[in-house]
Amino acid sequence: MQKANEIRHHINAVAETRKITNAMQLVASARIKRVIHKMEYNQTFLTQVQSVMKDMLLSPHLQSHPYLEKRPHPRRTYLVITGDKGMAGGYNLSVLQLAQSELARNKNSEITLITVGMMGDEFFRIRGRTPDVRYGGVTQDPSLHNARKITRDILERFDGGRTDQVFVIYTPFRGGMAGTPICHRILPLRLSDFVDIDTAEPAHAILYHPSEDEVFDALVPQFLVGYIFGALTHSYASEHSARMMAMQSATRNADEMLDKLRMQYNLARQAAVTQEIAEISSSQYI
Amino acid sequence: MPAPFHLDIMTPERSFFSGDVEGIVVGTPDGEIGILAHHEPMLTPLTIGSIRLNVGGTWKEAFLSEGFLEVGHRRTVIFSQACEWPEEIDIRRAEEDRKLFEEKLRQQTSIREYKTNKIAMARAMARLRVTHTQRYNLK
Repeated sequence: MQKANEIRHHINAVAETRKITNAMQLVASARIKRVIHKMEYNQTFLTQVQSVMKDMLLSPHLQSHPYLEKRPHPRRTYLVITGDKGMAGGYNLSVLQLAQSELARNKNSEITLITVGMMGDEFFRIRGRTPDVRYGGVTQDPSLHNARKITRDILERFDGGRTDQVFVIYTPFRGGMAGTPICHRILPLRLSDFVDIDTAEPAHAILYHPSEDEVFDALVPQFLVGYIFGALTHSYASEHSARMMAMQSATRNADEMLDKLRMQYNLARQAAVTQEIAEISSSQYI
Repeated sequence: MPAPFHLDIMTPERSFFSGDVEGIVVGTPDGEIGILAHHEPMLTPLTIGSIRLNVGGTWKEAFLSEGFLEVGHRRTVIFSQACEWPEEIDIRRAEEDRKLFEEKLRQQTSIREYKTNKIAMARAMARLRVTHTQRYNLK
């Protein structure tokens, strides 16, 4: 009976784990649903803001602006968005690998590294590149408040001349799944960033009050907050969809394992019973 | 009755308002301005404060964070960081924020903090102002 008992313990352990992975899968899918409408709305908001920005960029009045200038010898800032926890398949690793290769490619220029999420922080710390700024716990709550905090920090660095280019590395959520991670430049802005965007109004006919520069100053933070908020929600949805998939396959594996173990358990139990009967029936001849 | 025009108020999180209004009053760096139908196309930044909307003859007031206003031929859009109706505002939180940032401003440590605290304070004050006028109107 010894062997059957061991198998029973194993079955119990796997069943417990299965409960956890199954629950995590359900939680992840519920969380995706919660942010999906935010993401769709954020996309319209961004497109609208971008179309106004395109109008302005096409306007003859706005010739130069600190947010548009290309500076020589760029010092780069990378904002890397990862999750706070693992158990999400390859989600964290694929973002971090992209970040790592970007850093390696530009190792000659001065780089500021900002990580959002504990996994990114840990990853770079282990590799001896401690992030310059860290935001922990933000990825679990992709709120506007957090997006604003990050934007303020970035704009301060850019306005203060401490960095010349800002990139965001995150995982977009495409068609209900985590897409491939991308690296997107958010500062400085270029007209070529807006090729897909429709213009809203003929640019020359607009009155800029009080002046073009001041309007543009107000516009850019709006765009950045919107973009970073979008990147946070996309990452959040991607993380949870990756986790959902990982937990789905974990649950499936657990089910297969349980089937096998139950079969083994029944065989072992049967063998024990048969053996006992054989022992009893053979004992009468002694 | 003034002619109505279509207004959208958008924040990165949600569509706050979408519908016909007869007039709006918003705060710009140069002071408050009113917009009626057939206004000339314009782009202007908005300061933290309130927005007043004339919806079907009645004036409504809401809290509006920083953003900008676009008046076009086809549409009028306000993009803002945050926008809330008075009943959505948590008065106690706003009051706490006001006290917190007042205290922080008193013991300011750097220009950077001063700026952030001042903006946060302005938000709290504007929220309180909007809820106060609302209560006054009800009486």
